[in-house]
Amino acid sequence: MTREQNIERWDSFLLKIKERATELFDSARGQAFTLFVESGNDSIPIGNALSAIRIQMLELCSKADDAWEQKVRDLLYCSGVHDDELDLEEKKRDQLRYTLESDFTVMEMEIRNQMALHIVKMAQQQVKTISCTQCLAQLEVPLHLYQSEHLVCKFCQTVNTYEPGTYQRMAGGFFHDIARWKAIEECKVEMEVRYALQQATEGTQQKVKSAHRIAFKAYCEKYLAELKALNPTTDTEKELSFEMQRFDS
Amino acid sequence: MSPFQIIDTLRNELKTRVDQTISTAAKALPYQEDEWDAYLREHDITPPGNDHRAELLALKETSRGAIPIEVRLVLEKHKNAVVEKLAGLKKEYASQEWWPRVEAPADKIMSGFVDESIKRYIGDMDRKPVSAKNIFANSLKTSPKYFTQVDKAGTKSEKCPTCMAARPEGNDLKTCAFCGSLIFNA
Repeated sequence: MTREQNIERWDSFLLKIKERATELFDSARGQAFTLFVESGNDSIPIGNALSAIRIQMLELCSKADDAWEQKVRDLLYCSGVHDDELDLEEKKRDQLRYTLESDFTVMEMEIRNQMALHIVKMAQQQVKTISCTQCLAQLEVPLHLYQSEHLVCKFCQTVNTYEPGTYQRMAGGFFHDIARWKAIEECKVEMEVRYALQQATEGTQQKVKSAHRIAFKAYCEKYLAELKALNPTTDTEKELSFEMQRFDS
Repeated sequence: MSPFQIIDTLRNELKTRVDQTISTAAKALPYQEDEWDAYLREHDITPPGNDHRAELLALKETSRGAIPIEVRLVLEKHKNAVVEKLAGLKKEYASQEWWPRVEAPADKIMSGFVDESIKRYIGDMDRKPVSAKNIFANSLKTSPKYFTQVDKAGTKSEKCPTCMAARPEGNDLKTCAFCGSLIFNA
């Protein structure tokens, strides 16, 4: 078999793996929300299912690794693919792993965003019906309020103790997923630069490292701005400095 | 050698050979067909030509693994090798009174093993990859349920136990503004 034929076979093998993963992710996208609703808006089964899908994805990646280690490398080498060309073929495998991992992350973020929007909608619907115990006037309950709080009725000035229900308490945790999805473009850029950093040579590493820091900061800023819009009590500056400290360490 | 040791040795030998054949056959595509061809030659079987393989593949769509008829040929070879070994043992031990206790179970093992192994191989090959639908169904079935009831949001207010008046904002919250009774003792 010629080198071109061997390279073509390797490409088509990697493409098959990618297609299989894409099929799995698309199918998960279509069914996850139904499962969430069927489970009574419980996020635990979804979390477990997403872990299982991730394992499937990693198994697909290891198929490419095994094929490369056990057969393809030798086949290509024997058919005249050497040095840089061989490295290039190996990088196709790394690229596949990165693509599958980032596709999985995007899929997970999308699913969690769908769940979060659903919970927030349920929480908002209930909050609209909260009324004063004294005069029955509707109380203005801020959506981000997911803990007990004293609310004063603007008509009769009675001090009411607001007790959030299950969905309001859940919404507090789900704001993170909505904010993360709103910062998806920044997140994709950050993932790309992180991959570039893994691939960088000694000469370019410092440059890519600083580009990664910029991309990570941009993602955090966007995420925290979106989180603050949902939950005004978010201290964006403090959170950002904490994230950057964590990144630098 | 005891009759039981003979049976165990035959069974283990056969199992090792069958497992090796099935695992080699399962890996035949997309990168290992050369290896499978070499494996066939090792067992004195000439690999079929590409045209013949294409004809066979047209009978049933197969995306991976060697064609079952080729696997069967190797399994028959394994069977013949064990049968020959058994014949050698028979020559040596036929006069022993325990020999029928070896021959009967050995025949039983040999009679159905090729068909059983082929069935196992085809079953492995036809097993569909895990789908998201299966994963979700399994997760829904097996995940522990930590919350079963959904509490609704609501309000409550402390009222004067004497006159049931509400507590308006800005007042001394311990004493009722309307009747002066203590709302809280603390």
